[in-house]
Amino acid sequence: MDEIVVVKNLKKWFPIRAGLFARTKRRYVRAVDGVSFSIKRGEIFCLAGESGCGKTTTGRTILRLEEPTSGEVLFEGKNVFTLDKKELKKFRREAQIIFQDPYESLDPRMTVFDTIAEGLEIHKIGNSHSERMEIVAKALEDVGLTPVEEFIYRYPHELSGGQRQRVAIASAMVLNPKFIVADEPVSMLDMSTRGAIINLLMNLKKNMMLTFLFITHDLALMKYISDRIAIMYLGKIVEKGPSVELIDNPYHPYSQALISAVPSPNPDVGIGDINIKGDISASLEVSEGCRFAPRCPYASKKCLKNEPELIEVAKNRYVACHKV
Amino acid sequence: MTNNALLLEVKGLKMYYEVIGRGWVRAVDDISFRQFKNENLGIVGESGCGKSSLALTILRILPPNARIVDGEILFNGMDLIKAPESEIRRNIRWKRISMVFQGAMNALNPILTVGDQISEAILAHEDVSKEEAWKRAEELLKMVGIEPSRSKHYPFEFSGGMKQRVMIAIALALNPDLLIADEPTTALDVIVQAQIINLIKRLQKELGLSLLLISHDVSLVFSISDHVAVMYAGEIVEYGPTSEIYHKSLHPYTHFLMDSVPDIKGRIRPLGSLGGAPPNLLNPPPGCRFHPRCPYALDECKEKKPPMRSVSADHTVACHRIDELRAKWYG
Repeated sequence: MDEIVVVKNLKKWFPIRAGLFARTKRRYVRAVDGVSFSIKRGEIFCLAGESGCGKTTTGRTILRLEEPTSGEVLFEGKNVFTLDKKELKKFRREAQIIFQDPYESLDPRMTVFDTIAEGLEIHKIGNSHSERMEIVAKALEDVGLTPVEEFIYRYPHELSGGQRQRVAIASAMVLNPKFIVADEPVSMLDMSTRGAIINLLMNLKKNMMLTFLFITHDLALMKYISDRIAIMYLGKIVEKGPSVELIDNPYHPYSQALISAVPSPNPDVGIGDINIKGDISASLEVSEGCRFAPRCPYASKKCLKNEPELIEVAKNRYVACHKV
Repeated sequence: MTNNALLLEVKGLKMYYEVIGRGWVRAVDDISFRQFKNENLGIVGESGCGKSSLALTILRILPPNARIVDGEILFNGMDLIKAPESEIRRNIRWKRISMVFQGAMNALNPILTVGDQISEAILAHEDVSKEEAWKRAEELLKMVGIEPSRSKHYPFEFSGGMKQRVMIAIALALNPDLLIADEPTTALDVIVQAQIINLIKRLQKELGLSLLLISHDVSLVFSISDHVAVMYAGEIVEYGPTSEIYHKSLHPYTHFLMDSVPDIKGRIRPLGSLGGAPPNLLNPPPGCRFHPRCPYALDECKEKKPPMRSVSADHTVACHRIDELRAKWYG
């Protein structure tokens, strides 16, 4: 399998606005701080972690919705940050994003048809109104919004959360993309809708040979649907590996805590004990060494001094920890 | 543990909201369940199923357009619906039954220190000196895992998880018998959630507290409850011991939930999905409210409301087709 997306040492730092007469050196939030991974064509790759770990910023920067501080993202071999105008437009068509909040991501003044057809117009797909109508109708059918004539002229407020997310998916799919970034696509939806949207995405993936980057905190769901997982902590990947293997047997102390914190519906299993201290704020001031060290039950002097590299510790299993 | 004494018994409770000109939203419609002392009861359901309305009804903190139409809420044998408001305010609410709700941390007063806010709750209900109340506030903070020295800090100096711990400290300030927690950890990250849930479990053992946990999160509810009630469209469709419901759910809606929830410790399998959407409670469907989405619905289900039926000692289900489904699913 070839690699459709290659991310090399990606960094995205946001400056912290200091006061007008601030004399201190400019400070930064290092949202993404040297992240590298690649996504194979046809796989579902998952970036997981708690809020504030940089997973969403990574996804947005890969799509060039943010300009990076440094690093490269190769999409089918080409660096997306140096594309010319024509190439960028092609990239914008081939790589799509689905957002978390279907209540926010649709324009309330546009009908379902307008929303989906907007992308077609921008990318000059379909020559006439009737041709576009046909494409939109087909897309609505594909995402299960049938009968089409009942939905095509509705406004977002006339749709349920699940239906809105289907519209968002249809407007991404209608451009025939190769790569989709799905940022928490089901976390706003109710349980009974969630499964239907996930199944829809999985069917589209199969039929359209799509590659997915899922960005989520829902590790239980990712165990079931993703191929590989990378776990992020404060802008860095701390562990990466095949989903089931990693979740059943995590190596990094942070991944271990994160995974044992997820409740199991099996009452004989329940919620695990958490052996790490404090919260993410304990790590914000770390300037050298491992960022997780202040919370880690196994941290030694070395961990406070040297930052661990992400290295392969077993076949396909990568961990950034001195103590593995 | 079912030989324990009853703490809370809700019988045939109906609470409707009036929508001027459009009728009544039947948010809580003929609900019955029991909670035993020193036990956790979990109520699980989707948004809009009436689970939060149920909590508000038990605490009698309903908005003006709400009417308790029928039923009883027996708390330690006393009917909270018949009790006068003054009695509830003085002796029940916060003192015997307290509550932590979703985003409760945002209900902290930004211009008072957390110590002030905890001691305020104590002073409002008990005849103690300011010093005594402050001392207890510090003890409560320590109990929920916050340094007592931080009692002089303001809410903005705490993270979301820490603020939620402060809210739990306030809820426990008067040593209640029952803590109603409505989505207590929904806005929090999973590690913080686990810390808070483990904290509640620990305090429960120490203080002899019972927890009524209300959430949409099936995994969370099942992981810490002794009994579970599954709500759908204003009604309880299945109630019983958690382990029995987990292994042998009989209502098609519960069965679907068990089938669709990914289990981080479970084996990989296809996840179930369900068509349609929950009904509008202004005008719920006749018969069984789940019938329009139920793959097993018959004509009978469309016409006749299924009664709550006992299927074992402590397990009740509202479905016309229990016997066939039990044979089909569990042989």
